Amino acid sequence: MIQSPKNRLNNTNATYFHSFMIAFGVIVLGLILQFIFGSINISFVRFPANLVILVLLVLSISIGHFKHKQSPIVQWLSSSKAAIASIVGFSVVSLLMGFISQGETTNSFIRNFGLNNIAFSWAYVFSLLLLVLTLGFATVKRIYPFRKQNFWYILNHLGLWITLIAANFGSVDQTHLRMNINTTGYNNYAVSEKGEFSFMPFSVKQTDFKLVNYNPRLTIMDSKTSTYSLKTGKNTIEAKSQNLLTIENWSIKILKYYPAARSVAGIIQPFDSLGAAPAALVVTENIVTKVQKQGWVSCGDNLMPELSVMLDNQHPLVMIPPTEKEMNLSVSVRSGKKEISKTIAINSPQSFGGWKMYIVSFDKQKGKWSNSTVVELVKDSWQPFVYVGLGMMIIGSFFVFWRGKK
Amino acid sequence: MEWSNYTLFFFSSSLFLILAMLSLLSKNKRTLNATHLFSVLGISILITFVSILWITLGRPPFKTLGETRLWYALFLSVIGYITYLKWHYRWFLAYCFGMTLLFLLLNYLKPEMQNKTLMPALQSIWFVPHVIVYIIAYAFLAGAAIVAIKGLFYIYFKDTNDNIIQLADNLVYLGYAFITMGLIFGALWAKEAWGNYWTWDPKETWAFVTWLGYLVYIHYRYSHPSNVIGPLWILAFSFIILLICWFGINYLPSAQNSVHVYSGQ
Repeated sequence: MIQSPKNRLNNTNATYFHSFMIAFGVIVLGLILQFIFGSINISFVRFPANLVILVLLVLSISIGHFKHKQSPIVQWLSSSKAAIASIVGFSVVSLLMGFISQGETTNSFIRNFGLNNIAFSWAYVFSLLLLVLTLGFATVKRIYPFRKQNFWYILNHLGLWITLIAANFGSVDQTHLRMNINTTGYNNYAVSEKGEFSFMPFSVKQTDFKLVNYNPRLTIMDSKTSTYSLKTGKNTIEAKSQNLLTIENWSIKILKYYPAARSVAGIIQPFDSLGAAPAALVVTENIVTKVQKQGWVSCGDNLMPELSVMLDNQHPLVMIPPTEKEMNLSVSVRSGKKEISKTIAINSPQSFGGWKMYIVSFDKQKGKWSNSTVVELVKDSWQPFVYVGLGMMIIGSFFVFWRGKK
Repeated sequence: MEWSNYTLFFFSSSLFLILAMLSLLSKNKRTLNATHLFSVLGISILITFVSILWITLGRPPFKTLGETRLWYALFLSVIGYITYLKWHYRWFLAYCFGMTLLFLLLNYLKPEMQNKTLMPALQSIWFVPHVIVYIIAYAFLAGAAIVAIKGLFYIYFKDTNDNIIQLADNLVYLGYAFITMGLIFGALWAKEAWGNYWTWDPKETWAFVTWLGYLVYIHYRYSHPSNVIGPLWILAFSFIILLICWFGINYLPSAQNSVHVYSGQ
């Protein structure tokens, strides 16, 4: 993977033992500082402080490389031993996150050492800094003097360096706000995670909401245990006209299916409005006893009772409420005299003046007739740099795939 | 319904894969050549089944554990065969087919094959590439792990075998390229779906540590090309992390709310 003279990598006097002592040392130091001072105040590294830190990092790596190449510190930071030790150190910090639940905890030991919020702990920052330094020195060594065969090495290493810097600084600068929007009027205030209100430079109104559900499925329940007696996919039937399936001893056929229906004096009729529920008319036959039953099955809502067909004394055929397939939220955004319409879907956010808008939730009670939605507004100025870094790594990984160990 | 043809495909594919493994044992060149025919037939049947399943489900079959097992079986056999074509390691092909059979058998005996529908967050252009590159990566790295175990066995109980570490290198580099892409595709997808690249969700954390494990292997191999034992242990250890990441996290208390925990229901 790495090119050119090997002795350049290992001309440090430090051994693996020393390297690991340093990598674990910064973690221990971080834990001690955490215990004494508590979590890092993230607002301290917000823009422009993070830009200053970035400039200092680039300067110190450049000065170290060009002016103090023979210094033992620079030699160690540029060595593969330091690279491996810093990767292992950062792995250990990540593993702590993998084992310990992140978030609120009553365990005072975990809380005092910040182990329930590692991404904001001193140990994380220190081990990340060490990783960024070793990665930076390894990269600058290949950039100056530049040689063609080092091109893909630089793509992988510099790409990762840019990604780590931009993603971590970006996470500090990112703003996430929640906004409630509805069909009645324009709203221009949003709330942060901490509950602070802020007024946006634009106001938003919901103009349309489309929720498409998958067809619900029918299954047999065991009324004694109140559980679906048969859980696997083979034993549920999709509510679709003319669908046919045999579950255990019963053959089930769907005669009619209404995606939205209501019950008026016991008569089921299609009705596409708030309070309606899907309903299926089924005919069942017990294969052994040849007993036939017919009736409506529905998961129920305000205008439709929950309906089932009793196959025998113990086994009703019921409808599992439908799950969501897709949702599209149309909004109108006003900014000054300008007014634009946009449609947001899950996995397809929309941008307005530097903000990206994501759907968070809608009024589940009203389902597809929901007239209010919660959207998340995200501002992330570092995003283009993260994309550059990740793009370099993707191209770099093609080289890894193509060339292997050369 | 959609899986109802599985029995037929399972038995016919398994038959050809077993025949391929048996013909590998032969010293007769013509019988050995039959390995190719049986391998291609066995793999083709699997591909046919996955294609039919995808079409009938109307969605990519990646959601349930049963479905990911199916892909794992398919890619293990394909990778085993490609590796065999290139390097002619018989034992490696036998291992890959053996693992393929195991996964096919698990699906046959324990059908967690619900026709589960995809929630909106999973309906993304990133979904298919993210999962496919990960499954390919896992298959390569599983190969690398078995190479490592074999290598360690040779070193401790027989003579050292230099070819082993070369094969390990080849597999790790291939697997590493895919695991990198999988990690990045996942991050880009998360940004589109939730507005964050990375939330240190337990699956993300373990996937990242897995990635770092193989990164250590690559760097260690480069700087100490003559050392064989150390890297092989790193490989074996990294694969344990990979296994925790793949399904071990389903049992970790820290991962209860992860979006990645596979649904067996």
